[in-house]
Amino acid sequence: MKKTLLILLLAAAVCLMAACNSGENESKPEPASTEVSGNTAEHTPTGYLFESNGVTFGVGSASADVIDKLGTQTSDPYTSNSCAFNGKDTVYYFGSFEVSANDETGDFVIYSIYLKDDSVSTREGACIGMTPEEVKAVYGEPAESSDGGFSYVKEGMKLNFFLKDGVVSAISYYVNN
Amino acid sequence: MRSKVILRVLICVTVFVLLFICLQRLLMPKYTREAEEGRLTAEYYGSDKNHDVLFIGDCEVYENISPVALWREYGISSYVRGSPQQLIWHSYYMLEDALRYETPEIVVFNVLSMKYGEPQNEAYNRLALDGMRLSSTKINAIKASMKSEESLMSYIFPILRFHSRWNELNSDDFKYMFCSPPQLSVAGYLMRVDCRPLTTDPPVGHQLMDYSFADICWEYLEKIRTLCEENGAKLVLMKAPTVAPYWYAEWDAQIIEYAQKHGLAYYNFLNSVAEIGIDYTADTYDEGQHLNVWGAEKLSSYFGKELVSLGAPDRRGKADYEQSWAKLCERYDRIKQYQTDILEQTGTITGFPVPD
Amino acid sequence: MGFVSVWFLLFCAAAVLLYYVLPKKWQWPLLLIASCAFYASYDLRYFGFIAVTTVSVYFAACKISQLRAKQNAYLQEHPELGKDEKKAYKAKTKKKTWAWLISCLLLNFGILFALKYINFFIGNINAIISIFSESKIPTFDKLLLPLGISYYTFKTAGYIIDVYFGRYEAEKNVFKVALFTSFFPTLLNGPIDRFPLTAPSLFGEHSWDEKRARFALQRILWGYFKKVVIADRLVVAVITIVSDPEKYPGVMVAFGALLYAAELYCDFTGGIDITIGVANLFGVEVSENFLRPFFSKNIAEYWRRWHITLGTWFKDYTFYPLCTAKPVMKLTKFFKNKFGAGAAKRVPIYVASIVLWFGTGAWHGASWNFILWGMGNCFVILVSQELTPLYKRFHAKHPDIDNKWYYKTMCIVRTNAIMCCLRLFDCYKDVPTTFKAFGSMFTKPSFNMLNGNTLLNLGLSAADYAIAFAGILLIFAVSMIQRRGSVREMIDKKGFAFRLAVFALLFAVIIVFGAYGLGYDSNSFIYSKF
Repeated sequence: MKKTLLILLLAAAVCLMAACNSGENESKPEPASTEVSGNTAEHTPTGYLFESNGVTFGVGSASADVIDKLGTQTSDPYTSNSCAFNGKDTVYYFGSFEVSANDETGDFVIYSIYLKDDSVSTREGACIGMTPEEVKAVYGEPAESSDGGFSYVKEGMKLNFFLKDGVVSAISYYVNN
Repeated sequence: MRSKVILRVLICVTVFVLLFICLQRLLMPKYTREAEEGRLTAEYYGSDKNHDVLFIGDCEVYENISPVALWREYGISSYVRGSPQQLIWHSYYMLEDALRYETPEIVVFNVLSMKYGEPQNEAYNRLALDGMRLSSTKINAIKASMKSEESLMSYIFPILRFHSRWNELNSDDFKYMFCSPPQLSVAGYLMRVDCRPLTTDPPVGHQLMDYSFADICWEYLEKIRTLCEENGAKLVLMKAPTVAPYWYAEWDAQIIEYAQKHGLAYYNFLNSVAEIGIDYTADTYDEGQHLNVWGAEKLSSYFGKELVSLGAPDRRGKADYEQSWAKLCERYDRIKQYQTDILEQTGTITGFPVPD
Repeated sequence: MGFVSVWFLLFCAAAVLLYYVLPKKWQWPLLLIASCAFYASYDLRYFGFIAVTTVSVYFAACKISQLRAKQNAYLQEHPELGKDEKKAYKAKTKKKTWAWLISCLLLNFGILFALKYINFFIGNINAIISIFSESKIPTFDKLLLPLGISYYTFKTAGYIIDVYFGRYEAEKNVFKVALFTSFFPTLLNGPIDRFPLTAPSLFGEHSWDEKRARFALQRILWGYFKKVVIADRLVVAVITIVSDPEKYPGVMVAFGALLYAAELYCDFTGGIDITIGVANLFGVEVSENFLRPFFSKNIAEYWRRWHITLGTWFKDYTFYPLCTAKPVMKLTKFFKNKFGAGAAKRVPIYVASIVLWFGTGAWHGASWNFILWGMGNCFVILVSQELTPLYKRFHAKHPDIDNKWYYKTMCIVRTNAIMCCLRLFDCYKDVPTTFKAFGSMFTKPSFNMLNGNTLLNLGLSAADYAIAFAGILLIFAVSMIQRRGSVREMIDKKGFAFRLAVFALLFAVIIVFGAYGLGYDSNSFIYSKF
């Protein structure tokens, strides 16, 4: 009985040390050939693309390649800085839509395109004011859905349709984190 | 013989421990050339723990609230316990940590961090937590903040994270190996005297799918409220008058409801910009994202009135307070002059330059 | 909880402290508890498998020993029995013991096969079926691969085979068998120890020995140096090269092979150093698994110096038994009658070698890459044997050449070049890619790629190369010194201050220059997937 108790106590003592490992990320041996990223990615847009003023671009496009070709900006761009670091986030205003880019990767890359009114539409023909059914007729069933809207996911980006009073009130192309 | 062996073992252990400590102190970033805000957390411990008002939050507090202005106008002794993109769980543990040293009358929490329901990145975790003294509070803060790829041990022994800095070492790493770099903040406030005006309309936030705050944020807000209650401090909620990140009306409504439910004062200064006298063409150094010192003094002057009505005592005339605040005021004025001189000479200010 | 973690170090420290504080009779039970805790820290589900192996091996071994004891007792009690009666009785016992042995081996190797090889096996069947039909046998998703399954399965197989052949009696205590199976320092990368070699120290009582502990800690430090400073640093570049063979052909294949050789050696030997060091902290002796293999002058010697315990396991339990197995003897006789004595004497060697190297390759991984790697080794060794007369004539003509430094160097370089080529199977994703990469060394040499631009885009900076190179030089220097004797003893003789300085510096190098933590792909040991 005493022997058993002592063994149990010992077990508890050493198991406690092993159990303290719970937060670590080395819980499983990994195969030797894990992927390692090599060179930085080129700035090619992914997923659903947007077109304006003859320019086709999307989330992932370098803003330097795009912004000047989109026409006259209706307002000066607004740049905000990241806390503590040198990162910048700039919003460009083109009246019916806004383009946001940040320099997380080193270059300014577009991470959001926001459509504000029905004078612009997506390349596939969806626009503000449509009903959800009309949008789904274009894109099919969404990947995500909530009271506030629904989203389509494609190649690392999301195409979001925001709803207000039952119709699409805003559309955004956004990087999918 | 046995004692010789024991002595040698002790010497070995001592040498290895000292070596480990020295290497850790050498390789830890000093935040003197980049991300200077990383010094904020540790600077708190050097302050006189005589604060009646404690501000917790991100850059919306440490760049917009001037404790010196509060002292000069109202005799309020305060400290801004802020850190870059401080998340609500950081705020909770910063408060819990501060309460180990002092018990303020009022705790002011800036509610912007309610919008972040998940750890954002390792860098902000480090900036908030590395400067914290080791304690059970810090361990809990780390566990609450860690992203999946981080490890607790690398926070307890930061050299496990920063050892790779060996080829980035600069003279400051050696200079400040055993001493702290110069004080950056004044009672937790970081000053900027320059101005970059907001020349456009303030940015309007994009529509969101869901305006509700994450459950974890409510959980920590409740913990902050309870912690204040347990320590006899009055919790006050605030939203700084900054134009970015955008503060949605839907978010504001939730905070108002929470404040009303718990009888908390809530000040959304975005609604009082005109009353405060903030001019986004003169009182901001980055187009309305943060106030410069002129804007911070205006906001502090306005808020100070409210804090007095909430019970913040006037400590002017008390020798110990006068002594510590005299030093802080002197330093504050010196920094202001120093930055003004830089601005005049070079036309620009980067970071938060302070005189030696 | 891998070796490269603070938790592992704290765990070992706690276990060592308890080990020497407790009464000596509790030492080996504590090791068992620690081993269980270590195993559980990976995945509780693994327990079932190692428990089945332990219990089945224990039970089968005890049964075999019992049957043999019963046989001996019976024969002693009945001296009147005739030769034929005794033979018949022994045959009956042998049949039963054989049944126990085979059942146990089938069960445990069956588990290993099911978990590690079944999908590979099905994949190959499907490849054959696909010639005739579109149907496919489904593979298994989410198969568990218990930690160290290849190591402990082979270890326990060796144990029960030894008991079967009467080399020693079965261990009566199931917990001791459990400890032998699961001793935690050996779970990640071996060695594949033999029971009689390890049992005395594993189950023995140990007092604290300052010198033994000191040497153990020094060995652990050395292991971490090799693993964390060199292996984990180089692996980034190796993976970059082998994952994009189109981008890195020709000379880059050779460069990658060299880096891989250094990385594999440092990873595996570093792991073994840590294993042996940790075991020694408890006073447990564990077999050496490497003996300066890169100094080998031929492949056969290489395999006597690299992963020694695996080689001896296959030699003792596969090669020799096969050489003398009845079917092989029959085949030998057939060849003798058909083709003469010359061909006949090759039969057992060839058959046993092919099976041995097929097994060795398969042990390393469930893919044709590893099997072809094994077959490649087999081919080189057999060819080398066939060329023995030629070597003899050469050495007869040049009797002293074996002692010449240039000849020894040529042999060492040749051996390592062959091994680097064979190791290409280890690196590339499949057999065709491996051959293509190998061929590109001759068809697309691309010497111009050996420039700073390319080399600094493999994931390593100039400083990384410098550290790795300096580390490799240090290992080389230590290996050279080791040929004269124990390096730790030599350092010990220099006095306390010198010793402290050397190992404090090594500690600092590991902490500062180690490729671990966030930002590094800190791999577990390459061999820990076995």
